[in-house]
Amino acid sequence: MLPKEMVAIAMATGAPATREIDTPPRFTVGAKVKTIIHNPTTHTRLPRYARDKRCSIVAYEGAHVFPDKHAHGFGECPEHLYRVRFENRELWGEDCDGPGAVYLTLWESHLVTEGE
Amino acid sequence: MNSIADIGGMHGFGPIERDKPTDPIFAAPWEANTFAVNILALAGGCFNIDASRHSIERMSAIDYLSTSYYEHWLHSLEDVLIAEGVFSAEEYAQALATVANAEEK
Repeated sequence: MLPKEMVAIAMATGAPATREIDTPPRFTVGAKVKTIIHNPTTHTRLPRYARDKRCSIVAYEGAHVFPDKHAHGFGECPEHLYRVRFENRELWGEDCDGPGAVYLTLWESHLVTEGE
Repeated sequence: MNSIADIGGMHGFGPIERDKPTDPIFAAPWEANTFAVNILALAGGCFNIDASRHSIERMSAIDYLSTSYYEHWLHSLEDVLIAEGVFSAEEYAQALATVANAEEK
């Protein structure tokens, strides 16, 4: 329960979803990775257009509550979170509007080492 | 899930209309009330934000596209509070009827 005097602060900053976890992050900045392909009927933070696509790790964002589990009563199940970069051509193919990139923040369960 | 809320990369929706900085945050009092009750229920631990987002994903595509941002919030608030047993669908319908009756008088 949020104490009354914390309400204004929580409204301004949001409630942090960062958590401490024991396992080290699996990926390092600069690593070439790929997103998984899945089509769950449950919640996922991995959008359709970014599934089964190559990307690179741009930054490590700490461990965060994993929404894909948290939405369904499994508890917070925190996981490492990464900012990843997709090149335009990888996402949109020949219809892309030239060089550019899309950045997403994704959880470790959404990513595999390229070639896996 | 592969819902209508996962709209990234789709064509045909036209440009995004942005509010002006001078526009009010809430377009109507019910939007402010929906925001407040949602945040209160979240802070009170009635549900979590991810369950709320998934509830919005489960809206039918037609309902999702023909309703506003805070109508999505209201939908998920009703859906999740009933699912969590905070009140029943019958109790909620009864409360709505009571309010409607009071307004008619």
